[in-house]
Amino acid sequence: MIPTAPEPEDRALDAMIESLARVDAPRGFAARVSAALDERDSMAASDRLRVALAASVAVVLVVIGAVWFGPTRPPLPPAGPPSSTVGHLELAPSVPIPAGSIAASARSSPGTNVHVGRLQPSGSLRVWPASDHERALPALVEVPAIQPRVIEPYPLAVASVEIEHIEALEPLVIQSGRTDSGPGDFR
Amino acid sequence: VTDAELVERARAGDRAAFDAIVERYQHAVFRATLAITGDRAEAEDAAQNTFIRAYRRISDFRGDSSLKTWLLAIAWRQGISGRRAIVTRLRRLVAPADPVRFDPPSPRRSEEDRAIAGQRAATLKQLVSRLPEKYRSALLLAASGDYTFSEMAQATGVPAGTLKWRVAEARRMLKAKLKAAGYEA
Repeated sequence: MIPTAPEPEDRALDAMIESLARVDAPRGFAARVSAALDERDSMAASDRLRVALAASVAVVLVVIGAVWFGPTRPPLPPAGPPSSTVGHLELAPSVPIPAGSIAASARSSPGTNVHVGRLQPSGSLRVWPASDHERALPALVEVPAIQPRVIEPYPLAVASVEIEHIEALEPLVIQSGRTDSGPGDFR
Repeated sequence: VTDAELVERARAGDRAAFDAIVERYQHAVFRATLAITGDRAEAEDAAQNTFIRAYRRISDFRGDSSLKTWLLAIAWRQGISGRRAIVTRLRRLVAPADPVRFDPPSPRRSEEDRAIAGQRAATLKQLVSRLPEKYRSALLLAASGDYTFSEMAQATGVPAGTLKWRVAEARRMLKAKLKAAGYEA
């Protein structure tokens, strides 16, 4: 009965409406829902496996990409035996240039901040930050700089040179004896 | 076994407990989705989706309302979203909705009475299906006998007084149309 306290003459109408509304679920509906839930559970399990597999593949791809496209450091110079040249420079005492100016000029000199690497197979030009070189700057301060000696201009000797008088040259005439013009006439 | 016990077991992953919930409330949920959609096939799909969603969200059920009201709220949303789906609209375009199968009249009646009652019932079925959705759903939901106005209000978010008014208005419209069709209400 519709809970609206219908009048007695409306009971027939309400009964018909109730028969329209009170329809049972189809036979086997609960089993159908249960099967759908089973299917969903199995799909969820396979989805979890698929997601884990996809994540693993993604990680491997990222690692490969990082190795292939990642920044590579320029090769370090081979570590050789202690250079005798360095020792010679350290021993040179007559260098009165302050160390700060050397560091400043090293920082501002073009081409020292960035290294351009070789062209990779992918076609991209790599650029490395100059971190290694910046770390090397304090060591440069310790290295004494050599000021080039001032080279005086060589005094040129001045001397007078006498030149003989030369007569004007007459044009050269060849007397070949020929009167006609033609091949071999060079007049 | 009470609803609370079944919910507790279902939360713990007991599928048999949830199957028992489906068995217990399948008719109420199906009637609710039928009241909203007005079509048996759509109502079956919506009811199934209601239970699947309930199974997925069973941990969210806090027990503030009854399990039946909670299921009705899910069914209401499933029915409404199902009606708005493009596939459903296209299906309605191809084949008009056939809302409900009417039960045959009592066999003790005479043949003439049965014929008249059957004709009247068919007319009423058509008239109900042509009611505006909010009136039809309120009328059929109330007539199903599974839900009180309080439960309907809690599940749908529509005030109980509004639902009662919609039911009364739907009945008034049906009576007027039946009378216009030549039937005594």
